[in-house]
Amino acid sequence: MSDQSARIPRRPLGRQALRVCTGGGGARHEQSQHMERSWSMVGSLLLPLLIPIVAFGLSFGTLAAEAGFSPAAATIMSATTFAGGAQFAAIAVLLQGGNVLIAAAAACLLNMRFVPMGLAISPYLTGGPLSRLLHAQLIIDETWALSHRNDGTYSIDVLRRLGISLWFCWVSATLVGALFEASIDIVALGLDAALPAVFLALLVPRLRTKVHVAAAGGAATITLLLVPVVPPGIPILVGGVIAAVATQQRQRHAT
Amino acid sequence: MDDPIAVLAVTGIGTVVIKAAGPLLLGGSEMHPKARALIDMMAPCLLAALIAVLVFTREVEVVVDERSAGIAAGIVAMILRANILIVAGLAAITTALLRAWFS
Repeated sequence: MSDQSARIPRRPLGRQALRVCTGGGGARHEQSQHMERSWSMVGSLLLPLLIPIVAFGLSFGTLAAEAGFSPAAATIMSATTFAGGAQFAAIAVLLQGGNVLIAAAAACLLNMRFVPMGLAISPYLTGGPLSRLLHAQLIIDETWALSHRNDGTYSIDVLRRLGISLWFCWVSATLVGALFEASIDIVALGLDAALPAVFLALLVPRLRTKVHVAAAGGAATITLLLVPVVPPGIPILVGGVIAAVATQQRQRHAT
Repeated sequence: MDDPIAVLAVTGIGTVVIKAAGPLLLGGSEMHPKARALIDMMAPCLLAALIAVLVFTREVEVVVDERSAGIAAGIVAMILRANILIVAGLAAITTALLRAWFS
């Protein structure tokens, strides 16, 4: 696997990395030169995600310890599940006295959005079943969103590198949180707003046409309408899929 | 205590299956163009849905709170073409400041 992007970036690294990652503003062949990411590029994308991931990881470790998890158990859960929302949901159920099955079900419901995400990325996962299985485990909101280029393709290289880095940070933070019951105050620091800001910065370049804007708006609306009425995790899945299907249906009737 | 191990195991297995479902069933193979177009459209839709939940919900309630202002600050930064670190940082700082002032 050769590393082609040994050039020195002339623009601010962050914006360059974002352009590279989202594949914007260049001809196709220029984009193919950016196919392989250097670690420094992945690194600059890592930073705005690193702080929330570490903060949430510490928080999860602490919470899991409260719920009776040993540091080893908490760490293994983070290592195998690697999905913050689901992990928190499971712990919350346990802390409220719910049983194991309900906790696991809540977690899996929240993870359902990974099904369409996995479907979206699967054409780019070439390789044997084991390779695909392992790469799929690296899919979380952040890695899925950042590996998605503006032109609709996915960079499995970014998925792998960012995924492994974030996974490592997530697991380490969990361990530290569980061992020392130390956490960063996510709410006080406003970190829960940093993550959607990153996703929004990734979404906007992809809203290339009015159709895309309408689809995104529709998805957000349907999702918010569903939040009070269905269990957590379902709104995103249903809202996202319905909006996409509705948009495609209208496209077909228009042509 | 058995509960943590059980939760860890069931959740872990469930998550592995959920994440691997798409790639194992479809990985590397060519999809029908219409299916492909649909799945491509799912990306901005899922992202928008995710953002909506992260900004406008708390548990099972739809709320407008300091995060909305934080995101608005982030949007201003995006219009000014700030890099993603600044966008995220501004959103966080704005939210944190509002929370500090109003509590």
